[in-house]
Amino acid sequence: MEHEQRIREKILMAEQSLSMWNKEFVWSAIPHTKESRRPKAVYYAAASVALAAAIVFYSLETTHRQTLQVQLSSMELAIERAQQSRLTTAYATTLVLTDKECENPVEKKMIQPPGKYATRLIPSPSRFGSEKDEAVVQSFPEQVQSVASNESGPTVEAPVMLPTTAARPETPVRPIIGESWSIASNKVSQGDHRFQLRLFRTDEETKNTSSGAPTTNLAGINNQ
Amino acid sequence: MQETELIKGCKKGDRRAQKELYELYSDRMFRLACRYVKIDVDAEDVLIMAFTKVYSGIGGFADQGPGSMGAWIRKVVVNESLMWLRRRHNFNLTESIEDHHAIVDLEDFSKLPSEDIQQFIAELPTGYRTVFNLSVIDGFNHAEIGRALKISESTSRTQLFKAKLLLKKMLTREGLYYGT
Repeated sequence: MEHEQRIREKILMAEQSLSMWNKEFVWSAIPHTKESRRPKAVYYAAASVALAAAIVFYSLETTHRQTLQVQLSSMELAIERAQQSRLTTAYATTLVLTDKECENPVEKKMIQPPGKYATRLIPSPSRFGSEKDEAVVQSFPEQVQSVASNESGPTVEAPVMLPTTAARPETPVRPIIGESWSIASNKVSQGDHRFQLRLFRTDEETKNTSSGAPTTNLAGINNQ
Repeated sequence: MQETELIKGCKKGDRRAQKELYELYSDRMFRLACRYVKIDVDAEDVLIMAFTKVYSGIGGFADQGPGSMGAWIRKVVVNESLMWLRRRHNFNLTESIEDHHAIVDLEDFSKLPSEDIQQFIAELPTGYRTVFNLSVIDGFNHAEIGRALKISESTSRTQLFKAKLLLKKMLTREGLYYGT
């Protein structure tokens, strides 16, 4: 082993001696960086700032969402209340009248708060089926109409109803299909039959055909 | 500039400190690379890659006293030389069945001048030369050689044994033996 130690020492001594090689070329080829190790503090600071921004954004988003939720619930509550109030105005308050009160059902003995409410007079069960019930029933639509007219709101004009009856032609016509006739106006011989497709014929033509004009004869037309 | 100041300057990226460090260690590292790769041009390429790694990795270097910087640079150059050899050479290191080898006496070899020793080492095959340099010159044990070259310890011992035998044969062939 000491021989190997001697060999090692000789080689290491030889390495320290100068030798000819491209020293400057190798130095110029080595890439030189200004900072071999970048400070990590900058990265830590940037990461902490990003984390803080994310936390702030998330908290703001959560509070905003909660605020919107509260507003939405309050709006829904207001809408429900409005709907309920409309229902109370739409539906008639029921009053049970006694026999004496039903004598004159038109007179409204209504114990009701001030305001315009539609009322429906319901007689007591003993008077159910009597003639006066019809008067009560008959008065209901009027009350409803009065309520509808009394309610403030935009006036709705009655729609203009157009007549549904079809326009009557000046001369009555009847449908026909594939009838052949002679064209007398052109003074053509009777043998010269021309086929024309007409969908309708007047009463005059009907009378003329009934007097002896040729009727529909598809077989005859085809043979021509 | 002292070595500690050089290290601090290189960590800051001071070009002057880097240049001084290069001037201090480049000649030795060039000869070290030449022992492994043989050719001067290849040794220069190894040196470029090695010093690039030194300057980029010096931030993580912990100064452990005088000589620690030189030992660290030496390790970097050896590793770069081995990587260069692995890329260009197939070592063809044969496995050996025998676990125990006869001790080869290198007494005559050790008496030669350093230039002749270097010349004989350079004439060895790539595999023998690499194991001989790593074990005898640079002081690596066979476990470390096995990890570096991805071979077993027994293969490393076999290669070293064969390298010593060949050196002795070369001495006999040249007729350079003493005391006989």
